[in-house]
Amino acid sequence: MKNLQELQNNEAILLMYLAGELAPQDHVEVEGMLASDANLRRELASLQEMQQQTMQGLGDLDRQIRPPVSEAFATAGISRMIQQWHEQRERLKRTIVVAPRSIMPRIWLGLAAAASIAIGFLVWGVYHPAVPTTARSSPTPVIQNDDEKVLLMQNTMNIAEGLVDSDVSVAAAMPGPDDLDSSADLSNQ
Amino acid sequence: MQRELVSQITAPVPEGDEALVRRLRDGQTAAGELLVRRHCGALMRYLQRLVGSDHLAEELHQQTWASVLENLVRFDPSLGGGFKAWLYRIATNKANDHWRSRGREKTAKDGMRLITDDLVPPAGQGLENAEELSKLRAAIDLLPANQRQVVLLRYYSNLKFVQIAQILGCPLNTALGRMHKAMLRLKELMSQEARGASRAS
Repeated sequence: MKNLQELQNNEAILLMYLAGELAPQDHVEVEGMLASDANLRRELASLQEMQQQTMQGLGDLDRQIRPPVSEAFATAGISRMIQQWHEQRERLKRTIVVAPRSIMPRIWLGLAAAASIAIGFLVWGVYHPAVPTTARSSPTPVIQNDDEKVLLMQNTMNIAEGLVDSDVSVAAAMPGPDDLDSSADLSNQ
Repeated sequence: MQRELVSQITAPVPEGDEALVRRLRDGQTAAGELLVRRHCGALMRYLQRLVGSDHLAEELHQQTWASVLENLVRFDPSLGGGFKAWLYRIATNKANDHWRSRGREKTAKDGMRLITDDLVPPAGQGLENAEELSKLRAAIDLLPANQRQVVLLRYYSNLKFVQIAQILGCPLNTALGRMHKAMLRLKELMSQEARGASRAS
């Protein structure tokens, strides 16, 4: 149902009125307008007559002129088309139903294997944090007894005294925390 | 009285188009055949009047149903006036496509000339009536395509003007305006023909 205000002119309103496609309150409003306006009534009568003639003429044409093909023939043709369409759909459905059994498990297996490998790497990574190889391989002194402690102390004192000569090789033998933090620098050595 | 009431209650209500479409989608081809039987005649007549050629109308009719089947899954009954409006939209688009691809008006007129020859007056009907109808037919063909579409859609599909406007992709006022112009033009053409005939006689 269309609002009366949306219709542009009398012809549009009257055509909708004749077709019974106005909203009930608009229909009543148009009836009121018709009751009070003789010109509008004439317009309606003319429109109604034209419409009747047109529709009647088309009806007469249908009675007089054969359809392109008989209805029975056309229906039979389209029915065959429907049957073919249905069979094709069924064939397609069967293909789609078969697919999960043969292809889908393989896809899932592949995905599961990939996921397992990824999880394995993750777990391994947690227990083996990435430590610079050079840092790990650098000769960190392991002090095992008191003699070694003494020797280490002496060495340290010697280094402190001999720093004037800047004996880098000894400093390299005792890597400090700064050295360990920068794996890049170490790897470049 | 009671029997009448019972028969009224038990009388089978014809299944709606949308329900038939659902059944067809579910694989019940009989529902599709019912749909075809329901719309085939009027649709074929619509195309026949629209394109003015029996052969072309039959071809477009088949193409229309093929499109219906092809797009049945996509059909949404809640949009745009239901199955009938959808069916006529497809048919109208098929005709428009044909015209676009073939220098249209010429084809329509050629076809019209062809089927004018098929005019067969039934027994007991005078030639005068057949002539009148032939004139009406010529007058319909002389209408601009957009006016002809509105008149024919209204007559053959019996859809509401709002739905017709949707099918044609134009505002409601435009569709109503075309209908009005078409009726005026038909009246004018018919009266011109009548004047011409009386002058000739």
